[in-house]
Amino acid sequence: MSSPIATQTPLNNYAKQRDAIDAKILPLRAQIREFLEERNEWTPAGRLAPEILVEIFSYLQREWDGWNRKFPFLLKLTHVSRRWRAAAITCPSLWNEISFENKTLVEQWLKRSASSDLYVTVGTKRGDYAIRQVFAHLHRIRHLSVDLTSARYLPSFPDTPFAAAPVLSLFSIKCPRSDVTPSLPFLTRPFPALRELSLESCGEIDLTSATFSNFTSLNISYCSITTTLPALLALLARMPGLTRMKLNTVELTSTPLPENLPIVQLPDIQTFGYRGTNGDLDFQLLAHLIFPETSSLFLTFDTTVPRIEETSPTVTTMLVAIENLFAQIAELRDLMIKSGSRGDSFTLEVTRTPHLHIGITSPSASTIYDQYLSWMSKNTHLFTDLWQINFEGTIPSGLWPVLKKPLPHIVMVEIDSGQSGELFDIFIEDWERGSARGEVAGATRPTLILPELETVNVVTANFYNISERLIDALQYRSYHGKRLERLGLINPAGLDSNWKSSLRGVVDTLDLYEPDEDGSDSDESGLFCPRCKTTAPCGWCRILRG
Amino acid sequence: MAAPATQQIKIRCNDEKEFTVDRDVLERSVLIKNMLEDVTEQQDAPIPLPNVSGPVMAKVLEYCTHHRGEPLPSADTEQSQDETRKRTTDISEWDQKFITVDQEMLFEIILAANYLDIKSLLDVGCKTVANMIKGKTPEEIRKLFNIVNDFTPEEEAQIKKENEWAEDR
Repeated sequence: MSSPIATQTPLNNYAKQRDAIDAKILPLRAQIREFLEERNEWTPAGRLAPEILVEIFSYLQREWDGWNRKFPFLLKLTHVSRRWRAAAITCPSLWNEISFENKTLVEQWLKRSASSDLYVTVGTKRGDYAIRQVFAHLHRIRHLSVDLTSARYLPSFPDTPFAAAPVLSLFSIKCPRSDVTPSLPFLTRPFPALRELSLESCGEIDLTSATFSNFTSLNISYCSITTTLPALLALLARMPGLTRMKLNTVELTSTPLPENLPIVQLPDIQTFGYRGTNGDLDFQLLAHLIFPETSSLFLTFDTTVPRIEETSPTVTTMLVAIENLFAQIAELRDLMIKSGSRGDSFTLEVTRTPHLHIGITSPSASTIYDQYLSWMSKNTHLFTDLWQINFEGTIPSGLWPVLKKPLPHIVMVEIDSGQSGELFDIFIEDWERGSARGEVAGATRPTLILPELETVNVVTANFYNISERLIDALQYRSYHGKRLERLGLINPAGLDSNWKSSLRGVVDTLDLYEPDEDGSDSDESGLFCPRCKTTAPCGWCRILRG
Repeated sequence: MAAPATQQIKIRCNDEKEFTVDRDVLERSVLIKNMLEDVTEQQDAPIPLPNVSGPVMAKVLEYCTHHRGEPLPSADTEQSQDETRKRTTDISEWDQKFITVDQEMLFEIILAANYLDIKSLLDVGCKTVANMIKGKTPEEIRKLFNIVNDFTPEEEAQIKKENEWAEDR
């Protein structure tokens, strides 16, 4: 039997019937959707006002959808419910951060952000497209960071639009591996709101242009900066609110300096980084700056001076500059001055560390050494990371009070010829404390000077002069639980088997560097270095050895 | 000389529950602070708080008592747009412990903080919700907050399109 519908209903009625039922479903669907929306309002989260929802969303504005860094999480939030979507989409400030290159997303963000200020980061080799898109909105870009693999991908920055960047407060451009110099013609004009500028690998920079004023943060790295000392001081004077600065590398041209160079105050500076290769002029710059006396200041002054002699103008300027710094800054954090010279003068090695490192090898240069002692006595806390001291020549009597202060990290001492055995008293203890030792015998452990000392290298020693004091000192340390790990003796004339045996009793390892058969001195480069734990000369050893 | 006694203020919640609290604790709420400043004479009648229930107010007062004496954000220290961008969802250890409550109470605290104008408490609440949401799919978020999908078919189509955008490189 066939279906009554099939036989009795005309075919064109089927569609009518379906349409009629759809017409009945449609309002029901709308009603269900309204019910669903209403139901959501009765959840705890549904009671939150849109402005609170937006507040919550704002914490997730810079999140990505898990591993998928192509998908901004904000978009997911608009897919939860009608209410969440409406709250997010109608808040322009949620959409003002653009850090992707996807054409559709960039367009959507630009549209949804309406007229609010923009924070733009362009970060791939395809950034040129995104830059072109956002450039149309230059009038409302507040932060613009461009980080490209090559300047080849940088569109030619139009000069004119940058004149219309009234709210641009941060501009950063980085082309680290660029084989092409980016063209930045707009860096000649003033920007009314620009306070933070960072240029990396951007070719030649003219610091005298009108762009460079009123910054709170200035970073110029791996660019070509050629200027004069007065111009550099004038630049710093134009930025009284400067908090962070990094200039790397500055070439100062030698021009006749005016009689009275201005002193520039940097009252708000927190990070001051400078790298120059200009010797005396670099120190001149340092001597003309006044820093705040604050422990949060991070100062890196990195200059390589090819040769310093005691009488050279560079030494005088350097001493003035460093004295000036120590007088100003209670806790100098990081100062790097590389210089090199041997022989009659001195070597001052200051390398980049959390604290100041100084290795000094020629205390016989008494003027310099007095300065060194003067800094040390004023700022002993600066030297807490010092791990090696070298002694060469005659030790001035002024050294003793300095060495009696605790230097907790010294693990290695090197002593060159000309010392009497008295020097080895530094391995023992503070004499003043020692005098009280008898009164409290056994009650306290004596405080050894250089408590962490592990290695001593004695170079070209006249062993007869030093033997008794040395063995006494090492025996004393051994007795108090501070046995020396390693003693190196270089060209120890007159060392017989008895002495060797005595020495082996007070140290773990005795290294002997005997003269070569032809009478020449042995090679010092084989000395054990406690830092690299080897006898092969490491970079650090070479620095310390000049 | 004895230290001046701290002024005690009475408040009444929407369930008639009353609290007597030190003025400086209550003044963590900008709403109550302004109310108290507007009243010149001392009043014995409790301040009515029609939008907050007793149990929620008890939690709010626990927060205010712990943070009493800390500087209040003034109008001058309103966060600039740049500062707002630097905000994180980090929450201090005590606040984290304090806000470990069931979902209903969490949202009630947020609503109360908003009504009473206690910015720091509102921030703690919003950060907590943001941390709950972070990394979840829309469906997982719906499940977490007992929300149902109420989009129209047209809106669903638009959302589908938006999901495709991300793949459009």
